[in-house]
Amino acid sequence: MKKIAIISGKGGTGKTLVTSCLATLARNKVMVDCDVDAANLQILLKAVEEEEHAFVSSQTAIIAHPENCKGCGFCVQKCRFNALEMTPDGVRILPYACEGCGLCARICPSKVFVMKKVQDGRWFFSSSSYGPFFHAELEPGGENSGKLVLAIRKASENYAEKHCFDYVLIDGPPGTGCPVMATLTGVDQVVIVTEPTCSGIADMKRAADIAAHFKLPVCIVINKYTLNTDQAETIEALAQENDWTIGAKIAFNKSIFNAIGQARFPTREEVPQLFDAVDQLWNYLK
Amino acid sequence: MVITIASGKGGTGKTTVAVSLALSQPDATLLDCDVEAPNAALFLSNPAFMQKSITVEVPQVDASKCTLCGNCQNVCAFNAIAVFPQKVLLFDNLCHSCHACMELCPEKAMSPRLKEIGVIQFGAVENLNFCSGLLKTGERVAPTLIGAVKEHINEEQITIIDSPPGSSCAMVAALKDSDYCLLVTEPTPFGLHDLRMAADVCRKLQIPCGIIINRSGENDLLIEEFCCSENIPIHMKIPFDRGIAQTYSNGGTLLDYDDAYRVRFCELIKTIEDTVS
Repeated sequence: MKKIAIISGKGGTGKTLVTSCLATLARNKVMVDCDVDAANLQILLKAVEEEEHAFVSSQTAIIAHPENCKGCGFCVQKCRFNALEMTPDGVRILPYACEGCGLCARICPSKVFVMKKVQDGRWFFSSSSYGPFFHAELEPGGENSGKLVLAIRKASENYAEKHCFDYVLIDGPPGTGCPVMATLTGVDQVVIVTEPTCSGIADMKRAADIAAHFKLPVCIVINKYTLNTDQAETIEALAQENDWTIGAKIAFNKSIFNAIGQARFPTREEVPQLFDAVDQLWNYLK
Repeated sequence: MVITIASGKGGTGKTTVAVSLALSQPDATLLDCDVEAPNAALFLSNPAFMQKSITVEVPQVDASKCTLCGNCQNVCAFNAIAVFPQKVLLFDNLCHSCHACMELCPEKAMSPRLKEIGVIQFGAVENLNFCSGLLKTGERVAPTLIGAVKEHINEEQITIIDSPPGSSCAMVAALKDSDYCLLVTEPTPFGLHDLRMAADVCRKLQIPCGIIINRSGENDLLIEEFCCSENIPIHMKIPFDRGIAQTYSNGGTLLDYDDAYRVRFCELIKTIEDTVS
């Protein structure tokens, strides 16, 4: 079973576009959207949710006994997250601020607080005409530590093994933090989708650094390459220097954006170059 | 006044708008809080910045006082401490720096030590006071670093904050305590889907918001319908324009593409000032 992760560093370069195009070509695969903060692949796949699972990983303080609060302010003083505020009516917890350490509950002399488990997000198993699909939604304001990413990776890989799928295609999140690390851990190949812009190149290098940390072979896709051929050449030169493969070059084409605007794939008739490029990419990856 | 530029979806144009908006003012403070992938500095000419290391406190154990009682392991909510028969193991990358272990150790055997989580760069460039944060790879504590960048908020000037994408705790850290949120979106179902979540966060934090539609064109109705039903104003539409994209690709701002944006952004600031007061 081959696990292929698609990341970028910079947001909006076209990870989901590339993953969804690969979805039309790859047979016998499971798809996963690891951008748990802002999952979008399900929109293009028109995925139908079959199962929903709660993801509980942290806890939060709640004021269980407000009547006990004597206003001593010890909790406010000791809270390292500035999550507590003393008011004339007693202590108050500020929204999105509590990190669930439990210190207030342990030190409050009047037993005002209890710690309550929090549903940090949800993950879903869905069906689609392109195959089985896993994605997740982090609660807004939630900590995107990578744990929810690991949860859907595990669920999707267990499913893929059990049902003898050949590939797991993983649409990754933007950035370079823990969710990206969780996306890459244990995969076989990483694809970095970039664009020929200053920001795209800067973040591509950051993404490549993380791939190097995992000792993964890097395959670059230059999306919108005709937008700036000088910058595209810079990317190709960097690829040569660092021994990265150029997996595909996709030309800048407004029809792609318009198709996505209508929540559908662009067709081969609309953008033949896109499909030729992705054919080439899949031939390399499989 | 503090204005945060957020989006939900990555790549909609937050940095483009944040930098152009800041440069359109006679003077301003610009804070790049997209600490995993900060790019605002790429659009500023000849920046020469000071750099400062940002640290958090993680525990260390004084073995001479430690009785291996295991209380620290019990009170740690993040599985960052493991107590074995012979020693205490600390997992810094899981630590949230809550100090519970240090506060509650009966032998006072735990004390804080500093661990670097990233750096901030800051200085004056063009008309701006600028600060940007870069998180060390693999660190989870983006909100802490964002807090360090936000210490450079200047009460005397308009402050523009370039937020991370998404609506997780990092975006909340950038957005909270702001006076206004400008949500930059694109007229696609992806843009709309993520815009809803970002708008929800604004509502929960009771921060007024308004929309800029970037790459505006034939599918704007998607966003317009949402804004109408939620009573969120659309302040500006930036057209899908290959020329704008090309200017951006070379590190240019909207003002470099067309100086008429300067007036448009100044008017936008006035509209926001009127809303906030």
